Amino acid sequence: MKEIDCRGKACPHPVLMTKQALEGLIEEEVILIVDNEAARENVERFAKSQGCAVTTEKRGPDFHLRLQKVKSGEDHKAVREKRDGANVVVYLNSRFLGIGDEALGSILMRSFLKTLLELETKPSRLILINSGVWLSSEGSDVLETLKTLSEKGVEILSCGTCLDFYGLKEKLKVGVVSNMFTIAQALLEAERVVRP
Amino acid sequence: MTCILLFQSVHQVMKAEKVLKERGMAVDLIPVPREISSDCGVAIEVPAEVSEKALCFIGERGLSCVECYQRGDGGRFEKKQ
Repeated sequence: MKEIDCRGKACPHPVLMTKQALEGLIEEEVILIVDNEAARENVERFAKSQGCAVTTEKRGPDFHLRLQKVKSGEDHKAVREKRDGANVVVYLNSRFLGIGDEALGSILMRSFLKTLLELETKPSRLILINSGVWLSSEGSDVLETLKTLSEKGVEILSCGTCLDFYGLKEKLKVGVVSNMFTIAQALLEAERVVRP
Repeated sequence: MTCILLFQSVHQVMKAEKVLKERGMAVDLIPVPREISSDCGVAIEVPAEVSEKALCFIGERGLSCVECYQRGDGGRFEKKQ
């Protein structure tokens, strides 16, 4: 069985390597080896999004992920498109809304997110980049709002590099750690990207 | 049940929020509900049982709430003052 060693590779390489490994793979298996929790999560999520069954085994400091392709990529893409309907992505690249006074920007961001809760049309994803990741981390005053949005099916993706930069990796409280590969793909596949 | 406090300006809202948080109150900033006003604005939401106390704390600092609404169970708003 094919084994791919992603140990020591920085994000988003493990996901890119997974993508390459899965291309052309139909009802076969591949083992991916990663050496950290963030890579494990990202690879697992990506593989699942591609219609794979994933079983993880912890071996010492490493994770061995067995990816079994159960559906061909084409089928899965069709299913995903159907499910998504209106695929709207809200892209927040700062913890503040708008440019100007930061205290005001912070209030406006709270108002914006609360209003999303009230509106019937919900985005499919919320992408948090740069200081935007403070919103999903411990101490944020919009955590409850984000949790409710998440419960209502909004996928909340926080940039892993950004969490790392601000020392928030252990403090993420809602949604998942993501990587540039997933984020760029989500932006490109979106029907509309909203950048308030 | 909660009470929604409206102020003259966003600056007053920010000051009032600070005062109430210093007093350890569970306050939240919310966009002013559409049913109350069509203006863009933010308001302070406090648990109804402590709204009187909140108004006192705010008053002590020379801030005044312009209007106060009570949010009922059905989500309807009732003007208190």
